[in-house]
Amino acid sequence: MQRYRLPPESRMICLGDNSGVAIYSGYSSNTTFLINKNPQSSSSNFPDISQGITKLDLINCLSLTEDSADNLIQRLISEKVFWTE
Amino acid sequence: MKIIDTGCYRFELTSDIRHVYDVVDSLYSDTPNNDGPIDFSVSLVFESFLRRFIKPQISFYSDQHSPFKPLPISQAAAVLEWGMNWCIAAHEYGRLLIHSAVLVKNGKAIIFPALPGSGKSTLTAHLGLSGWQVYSDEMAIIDTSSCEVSPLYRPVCLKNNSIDLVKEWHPNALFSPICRDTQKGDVAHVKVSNWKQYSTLQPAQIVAVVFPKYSPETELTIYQLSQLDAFNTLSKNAFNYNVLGATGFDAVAKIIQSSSLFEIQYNDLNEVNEFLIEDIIG
Repeated sequence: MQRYRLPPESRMICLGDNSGVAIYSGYSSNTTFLINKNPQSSSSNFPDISQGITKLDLINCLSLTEDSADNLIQRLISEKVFWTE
Repeated sequence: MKIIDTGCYRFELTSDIRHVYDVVDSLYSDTPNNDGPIDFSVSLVFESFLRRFIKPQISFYSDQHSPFKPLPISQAAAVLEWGMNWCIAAHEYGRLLIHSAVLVKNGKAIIFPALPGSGKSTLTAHLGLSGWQVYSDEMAIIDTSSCEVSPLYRPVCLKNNSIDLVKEWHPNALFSPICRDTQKGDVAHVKVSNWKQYSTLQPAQIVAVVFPKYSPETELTIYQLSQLDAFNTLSKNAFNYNVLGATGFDAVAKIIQSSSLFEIQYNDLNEVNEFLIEDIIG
C-alpha cells in the first residue's frame, strides 16, 4: 500500500478522545485539523509517522470511507502536508 | 525613571507624564528594589512640543520602537499596561504564550483563553479577590517542556461596567484611576495580590482549559470540549504558536491531552467558582 511521508520536523497525532487528528507541517509551519465524525467506532492508535502514513491509517483513525480517504489524501498532498514517496 | 518588576520580566520606565509614575507606584510599589537585569526599556513620551499643549498625546516606546499610534494623555496609564503586554507578546520566544487568564488553587492551574467581551477579566478579578491565585489576567506563560504555567505580577485590566461591579463586590480592593474613552472603552486596573503573596507562588501544572463566555440571559451551562476543538482554539489563542513551530505544537498537544476541557456560558460568577472548585480542583 502507498505510504505518504510528512516533511521533516512535522508532527502528527491522533487525539486520545478519538475526536480527530492534528498535523503540524514542517514545510509550511501550519497546523491542519482533521475531524473524526464517528469517534465511537475508531481507534486512536496511530503508527510511527517516521514510517509513513497509509490510507488505511487514516480510515481507521478518522472513520473515513475509502473515497473520502482518497479525497483527503489528495488535498493533503496538494497542500504539501503529505509527500509521496 | 522607575523599575516595574512583574516577576518574569523587568521593565525600566521613563515617562514625560508624572501621573503615570503615581499609578505605577500604586500598583507595583511593593516590588523589591534590586539591581537585577532589565528586560525591556520602555517610555511614554510626547511626540512633539506642540502635542504637550494642544490636545496632548503620548506615545509608547520600547527602545526605539513604537507599536501603537499616539493616544490622548488621559490614557497614558492604560497605554503603559498595553505596551508592557506587547513587549512580552512580541519578544518571548522561549515559552508558549497563550492569550488567557490563569487562576490557580491548591497548586492546580486553570487557563481561561477568551475573546474580548467574554468576561475573562471580571471573572479573574472576582476570583482573584476571593481566594484564588491570579497567575495572569492576560497571558499564560507556559514552559514548553514541563507545560507548567508561571505567575506574572500584574494587575487585572477591567473595562466599562465591570469596573463598577468589581468595586461593588470588593470595595477594599486597590484600583487605578479610570482611563475614559480608550479604544476598549473605560479602563481601570485592580490589584489582586501583593508582592509578598506573589513571591510564594511556584510554576503550576495546568489541569484544565476553560473557555468562558459571559451571557447575561444564561445560567451556568457547561460543555465538554473535544480535544480537537480545544487544540484548534487554543493554538489560535497563542501569541507565538507559529514562531515556536513544532515545539509549540508539542506543548499545546501535551496540555490538551492532560487537561479537562470545557466551554462555559455563565451569568453568575459564584456558580462558576463552585463549578471550578467542585468539578476541576476537587
